[in-house]
Amino acid sequence: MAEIVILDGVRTPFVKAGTAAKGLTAQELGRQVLVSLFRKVPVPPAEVDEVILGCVAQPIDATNVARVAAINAGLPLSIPAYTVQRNCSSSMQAVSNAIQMIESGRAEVVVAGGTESLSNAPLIYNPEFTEFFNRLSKAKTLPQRLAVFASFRLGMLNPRIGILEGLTDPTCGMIMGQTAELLARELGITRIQQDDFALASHRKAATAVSRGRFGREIAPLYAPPGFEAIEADNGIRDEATARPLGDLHPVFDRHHGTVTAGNSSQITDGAAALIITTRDRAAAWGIKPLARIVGDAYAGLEPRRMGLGPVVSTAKLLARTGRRMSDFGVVEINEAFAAQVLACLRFFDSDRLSSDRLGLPKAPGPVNPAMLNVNGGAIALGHPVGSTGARLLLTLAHELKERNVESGLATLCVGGGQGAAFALERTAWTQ
Amino acid sequence: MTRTRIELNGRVAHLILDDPGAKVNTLGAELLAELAGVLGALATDPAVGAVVIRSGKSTGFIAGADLNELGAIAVAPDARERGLAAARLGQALMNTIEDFPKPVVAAVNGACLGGGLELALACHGRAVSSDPSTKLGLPELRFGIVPGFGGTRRLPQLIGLMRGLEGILSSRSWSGRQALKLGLADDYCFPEQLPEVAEALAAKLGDAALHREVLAARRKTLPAWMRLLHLPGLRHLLAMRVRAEVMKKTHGRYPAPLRVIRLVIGHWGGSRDRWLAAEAGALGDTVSTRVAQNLIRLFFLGKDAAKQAGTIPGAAVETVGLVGTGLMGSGIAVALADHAGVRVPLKGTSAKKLGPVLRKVWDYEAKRIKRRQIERVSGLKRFQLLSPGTDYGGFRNAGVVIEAVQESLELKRRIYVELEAILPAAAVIATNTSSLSIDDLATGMAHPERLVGMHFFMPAEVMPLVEVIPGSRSSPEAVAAVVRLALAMDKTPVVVKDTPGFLVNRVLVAYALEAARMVGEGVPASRVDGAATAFGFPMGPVRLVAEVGVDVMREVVRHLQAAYGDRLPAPAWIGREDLARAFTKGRDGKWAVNGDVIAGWTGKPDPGTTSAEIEQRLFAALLDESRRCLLEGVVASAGLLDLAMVYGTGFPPDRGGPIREGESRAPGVGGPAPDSGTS
Repeated sequence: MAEIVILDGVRTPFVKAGTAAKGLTAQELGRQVLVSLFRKVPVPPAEVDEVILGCVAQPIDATNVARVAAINAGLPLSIPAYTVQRNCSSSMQAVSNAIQMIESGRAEVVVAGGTESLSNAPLIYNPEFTEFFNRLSKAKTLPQRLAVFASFRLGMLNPRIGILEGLTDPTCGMIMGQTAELLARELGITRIQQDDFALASHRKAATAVSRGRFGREIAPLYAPPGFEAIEADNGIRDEATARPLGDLHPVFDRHHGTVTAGNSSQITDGAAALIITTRDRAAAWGIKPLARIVGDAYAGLEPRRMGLGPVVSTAKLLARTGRRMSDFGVVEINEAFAAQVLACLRFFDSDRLSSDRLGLPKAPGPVNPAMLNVNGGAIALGHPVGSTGARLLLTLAHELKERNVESGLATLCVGGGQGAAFALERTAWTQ
Repeated sequence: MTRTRIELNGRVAHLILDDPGAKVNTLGAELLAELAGVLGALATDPAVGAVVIRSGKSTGFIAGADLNELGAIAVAPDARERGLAAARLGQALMNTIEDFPKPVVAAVNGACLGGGLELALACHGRAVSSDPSTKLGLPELRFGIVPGFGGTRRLPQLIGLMRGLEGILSSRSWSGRQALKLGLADDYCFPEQLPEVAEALAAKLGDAALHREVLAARRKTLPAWMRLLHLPGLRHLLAMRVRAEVMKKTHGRYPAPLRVIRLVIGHWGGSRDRWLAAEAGALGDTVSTRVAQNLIRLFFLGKDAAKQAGTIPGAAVETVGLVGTGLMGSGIAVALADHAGVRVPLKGTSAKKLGPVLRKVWDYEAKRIKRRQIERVSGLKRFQLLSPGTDYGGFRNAGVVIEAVQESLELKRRIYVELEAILPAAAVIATNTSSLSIDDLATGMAHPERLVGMHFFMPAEVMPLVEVIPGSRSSPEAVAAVVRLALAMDKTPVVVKDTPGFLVNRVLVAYALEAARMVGEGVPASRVDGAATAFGFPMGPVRLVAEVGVDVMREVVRHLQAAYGDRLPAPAWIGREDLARAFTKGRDGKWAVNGDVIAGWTGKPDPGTTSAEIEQRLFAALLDESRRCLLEGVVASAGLLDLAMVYGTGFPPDRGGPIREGESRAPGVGGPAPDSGTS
């Protein structure tokens, strides 16, 4: 079977929602990242077979956001494009689809990635107000209209907040942060442990920035109205502003909770795109790929404990690829919540937890904390949900080379009770 | 019968205009005669109940009068009589259509301008298409003449006095949709539906009751307050205001707009015959003026400029790389994205410098969207042609790269080395320079034949002129590619020799230095600038120094003095370190000249030079340097020189250009007379 590679990739800076990139829609973020990708990688756009982008909060004015981004980026109209949605693993799913297309001979070169503008997540009229409008449009005579107007109540103006409802799991009724609270309670993960983890994430990210580590991944964004360049992630806190994490109030359990805005991932805008192809095709272009894709796996579990998704998906990945945790020199576990990552670490290292609570034959194996999220994670960088998976793969691929290690793991938890995991590898013919 | 054909559909005769010998239909004498004959036959043909006039060409309805005929009339010794006769001929046909016993409908798709619109106006109804190429208007004033086929009467009668007058005076055109809103069109449809819709309109016009409906719908398009302006007193008030506006813009140097106002106001509500007779007289009068001759000549010179690409074939350029993010770079980016429609990979030294270029392009497109000149989608598309970056990514497919970095020989040469490393062999490099020699710049290039000068004028998104400068090693293919690119950007290219200052800056500096010398002699700066604006320049030479930029000007002067030595002496005050004090920037962004400050520097009393003397000296300096350029072969012809000065410096178009103006003045004005006349 063909060896499948990440040829190269690029991401936008990850920008806190409501700040510098709020003027950019998901389709525009996607356009800019695709433009940057083809400026960076000397692959003729015409040789691309498919464009697949993940997006969770899909814009209502660009229903197939991947197609809109691809056309606006100037890619040939003959290249088809589609959008995938598997919540936080949407852009990993885009890469998985690329792998499947290539393995089945349906494509040879696929652009896979994700785009997300949480700044532009919509507010929606509540059903009462929608009903009010319906009645108003049906009222023909003046008395009828007055009667409709008389039925107006201020409460009708309460909007449904798209982002809050989007982050709530309808099958268990819990908002994502509450699933993290559940894990923290069950495993006795303290507020201090979570805050320390968050602080470390910021520190690692700040160090990475100071040595220019992200320069290889990031291409600037230009956002209206001023089109000032956004060149770096803007969610990373320095020592002075990171320390007061302890002062923040818990958000999801206001009384005795431990999960705060400070030890959760940030709500962020951003996009990432990778070129997925075969080793042979890369060789034909004379380009050394970033990394080889060893395998991918998705697994499901209880939605209430979705934060443990990395454990079940990694177990599946190991079984499928025949690797062991100890093979991975670098590990990226998406930091949806500090509590959730800390919970995963316990499960990874405990056969008892993994088998009793998740029904796994044994635990995947311990994660060396020094090898985990070495450049910080979503707590510091942010979590543009539809783009995060591709960002993890890009960061991991670069880190393999950076640390001169042979293989690495990227995994994340997915709202709705799922996990996704990828193994990447460096060989003699990759970068 | 060669220019028209008839297709009968039931009782409707489709009179199809399709001149087999031309790409577009124009309304020349032969077509007029042919139409008169055809219509005469249709009028009496019992099988024909109605007529639809439409075009058999995809390029438009009728693009206007035959400009070759018009140009020949304008320069004929009996221009007035011939103009009058031509107007009479056209008017007779239009009257035939207007008085036609059966309904006549114009089905308009594409350009319907000048005589074309006058024909459509004479029809009993008009159906127009939604195609973006559909444009209706009377642009005659651009050529210094009045509409002469009844347009001064029928347009304002149809769409109202104010809007009609504004339409003629501005030479604007309307889209199909706008035409419908104005009442200029009675129906509006997709181009594919046009023949059918026109037939339906003709059927309506043939039915008394439905005909009244059409007329009522037309009347509704004119707001009541505009109808008020048709009353005698208000009409004349409107005329005064419009006249004052025209005078402010043209200082009375263009007779045609004033004639239009007089015609429309004076004959409003009067008889058709008298109005049309006066209109024909006005066409005869205006076409025989020097203004009309000059404007028509400039139009044809613009066509000559397009021919400078010659017959050298070249691949269509889809990607034009742009290096440089300064004022010039961003202006060029606008022109590329907005007009040329090519992909523009853009390279700057940092992301911070790239942002403002994107902003400038987006702001430009946003303004066009807001003014409804373009759809939002197409504005976005144009903006999205740009891809910014700090490396040469995206340049790999470029057919041409425009380099517009600062004027540094070393920097530019370094960029060419970088570019040659990644560009395909056939790619051309165009350098935007105003002072460096192309041959110097090409030194060290692996392929010096691919380098050509492409000198834009500030602001590059507005100024129509581009000087194209072949170096001694530039290949003809590269020069042709740059000329073609300039044309694609809607610019007027003029090929000039690789000599210091090239053409326009050299002539302009000679003129500006003469102004500076006069100021040095004590003549108030305001009087010098006043004489130049009275001559017709958009601004005086002293203020021009501030607009161009004191530092830039100093650099250009220094450069030209080094090349031309004593022939271009500069007075002391212009070399002052604190020269910038002579100018103040106003709130509107325009510069004002501080005459007192300059007078304080020169310390000379006002010698009392008259405005006529000032104008004479300024023009003599300009003409002298122009003639030298012509003699030295800096530019191929007097015509192209004139064109370059009009489009590059704002030399008054009605005067036709320095050489042309020089001919009309007493001999002996300015330097050596060239033996070549105007082209």
